[in-house]
Parts: sequence; C-alpha cells; structure tokens
Amino acid sequence: MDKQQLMETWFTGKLSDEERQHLNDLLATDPEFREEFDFQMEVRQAIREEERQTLKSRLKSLDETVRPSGNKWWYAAAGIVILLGLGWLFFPSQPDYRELYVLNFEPYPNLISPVVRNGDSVTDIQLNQAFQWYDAGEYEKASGAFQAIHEHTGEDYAWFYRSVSELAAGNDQKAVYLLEQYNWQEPERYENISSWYLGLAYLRQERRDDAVKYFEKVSSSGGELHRQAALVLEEIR
Amino acid sequence: MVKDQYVIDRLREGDKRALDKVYLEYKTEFILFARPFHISEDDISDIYQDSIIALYENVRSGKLQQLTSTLKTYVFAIAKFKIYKLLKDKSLNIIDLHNLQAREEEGTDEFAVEMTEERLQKMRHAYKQLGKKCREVLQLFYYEGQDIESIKETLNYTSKDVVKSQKSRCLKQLKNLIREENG
Repeated sequence: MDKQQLMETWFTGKLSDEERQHLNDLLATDPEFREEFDFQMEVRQAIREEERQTLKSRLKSLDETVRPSGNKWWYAAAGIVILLGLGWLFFPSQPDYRELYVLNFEPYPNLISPVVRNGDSVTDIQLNQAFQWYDAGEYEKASGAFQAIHEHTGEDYAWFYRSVSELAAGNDQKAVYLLEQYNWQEPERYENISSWYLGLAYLRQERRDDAVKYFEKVSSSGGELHRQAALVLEEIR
Repeated sequence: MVKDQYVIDRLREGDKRALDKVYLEYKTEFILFARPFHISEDDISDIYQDSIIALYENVRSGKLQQLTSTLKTYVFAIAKFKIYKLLKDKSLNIIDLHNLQAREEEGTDEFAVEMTEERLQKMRHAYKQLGKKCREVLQLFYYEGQDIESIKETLNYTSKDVVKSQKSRCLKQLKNLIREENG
C-alpha cells in the first residue's frame, strides 16, 4: 500500500494493525507526509465541527416548535398487544390474524368535531351528525354522512373517517379500496395512520403479506402508532 | 428492539427526521435523569444534543450497525459518559459504564491534532466558501468516513479516479483559501 493509499484508508477507519504501525512509522520519519496528514486531520475536525453545529441548531429548533400531543388512546391497544404477546409465550402457535385484528382495532378517535365551531352551516350540521353516529357506533350511517361531507368539501378527514367507519362496520374490503386509492392532500397527517388501518383491514382478511407491508410502513415511520405496529409485526412475522 | 433497529436503518440512510424523532422521544426522560447531578439546564440540553449527534455519527460512519441494547440505553450510555466527563469526578460510581458498545465509541482519536480555536474557525470559514461539489466530497470522506468507492456510488461519479482527483483538487482549494485568509 503506498503512502497516499495508507492515509486514505486511515480516514475511512479500515486500517489493519500492521498498516497502522506502518502509518505510525511514516508519521515519525517523513515530515512532508506528517504535514499533509495533520492538515487533513484538521480538515476533518473543521468539517465535523461544521456538521455538528448544523445538526445542533436543527435539534435546538425542535425544542421550540414541538407541542405535546395529548392523544393517548392507543396505549390501551398497546397493552393488549403485549398481553397477547405474553400469551403466545405459553401457547406458541400460528398467530390468529382475526383475533389480532379484534384486539388492535379501535376506531380512530374523533379529533374533528369538538374542534370545529358549532356553526349552523349545512356542513357543520352534517358534521356533527356524522360524528354523533360515529361516536355512537352507528358506522354505516356515519360512513354515508362522511361521504356526503367529502363530496361537498373534499376534506381529507371526511374521507379518512368514512374509511374507518367502513372498517368498523365490518366492510374491510371497502375500507381497503377507499384508503388505497385516495391521494391525501395532507399526507403527513393521514398517510401513516391510514397504513395502520390498511394493515388491520388486511389482517382481518388474513392476508398476511399485505398486512406486513403496511405495518412495516407504520413501524418504520417512527410516527404515530409505530410501536404498536412493531408489536403486531412481531406477532405475525 | 425491532423498532429501534428500524430507526438505526433510517439513520444510516441519513434520514434526519428519524433523528428528530429519536431526539424528542427520550428528551424529557433524559432531563429528568440528569437533573439530580446538579448540572445546569443548559449543560443538560447540550449533553443530550451532543449525544444524539454522536449517535448519528456512529451510525453514519458504520461504527454502530447492530444494536446490542435498546436505542434508549445506547443514547443514555453516551450521555452518561458525557455527564461523567463534565463532572470529572472519577469516584462517581453511580454511572454504569456497562454499555461497552457506547463507551468504546466515545474514545478519542488516535493521532488527533491539537487545533486552536482560531485555526478551527478559519478552516470552517474556508470550508464554507468551497463550492457545493467540493463540500459534498469532503463531507462524505471526512465526516461520514465513506471510502472512495462508495462516494463514487453516492455522487454518481464515473470512476474512482475521478473521485480521487476531485478530492485532492478540493483539498488544494481549501489550502489556498486558508492561505489567503492568513495572508
């Protein structure tokens, strides 16, 4: 290995012990080489410092923008998954996809209607009605109402709650169809959570590979429900 | 652990949003953990941020590929070690340094050069004046520890020789810039 190669390999951290010894000898005996090496070490230090400062300001800015979310509804679901997981310790067997579905499925909480002003526009009235049905478990009716709202407003949430209503009503095929074809205007808000429900819908249909695909998406997103998704994945893999 | 490994894999690809998530996930807990050591809130934040950055660097450089503990334990081990260094109280046994993985990766560099603050700032300034292409190559090589072959892949260069000559051209430019600043 020539001198340049040796230096290069050093910086990528792949020198063998023998090569490191060789480098050491060179540094002691070859001033020109030493000078070049020191310079590159300084370059590395400077770039490191630069990168660290950039990352640091990024992290600092997070402290200022983040608000805590008070939305903890899935903790219960997580608990159940864990219990279920423990159960399998004692009764190892093929996972029961339907049971996993039942234990994990919960209609997404109503985060819309308490927030929306209690106005008397047609949409507001429709909206309150839709969520009343939704909260009361009358999912077929709720789905129809959300559909109507979506036709009027084109809002993502209406489509989303319609899909979840369909799933809750037991129409998993329809829910899959609705969720898979839709292009979210606010993908950041709905894509991840939709994947969760798609995973569940496929679980219910005992289509393991499709379910895994969506749970993996959720799990790797690091976002909402990623832990639960990882737990479900452990069960069905 | 499964999820933690996912995160590591995302970080390896340079996903900074994954890093944001990690940062936020353990922050409160770390602050609560660190308070009893009587360090200022600013120092606690600094230590935590630096530990998250160390995590990122270790993943990107390939030092950390497979977790042998949870991600949280790993981050905390780095951070505890930093608290320990800050307090410089070697008799402090409260801190468990069992997480050898993280501890080793906190080791200092062999052959490291002492740099004055002034020299460092000059070099940073010069580096920022380089063109984007130069900064890319140098950043991948010196910060992320990628070898010539993988830089060739990352930046779509036609051959390793092109990468090599680009890199030495950029180093030369950097040298000149620093000389100008000094002169």
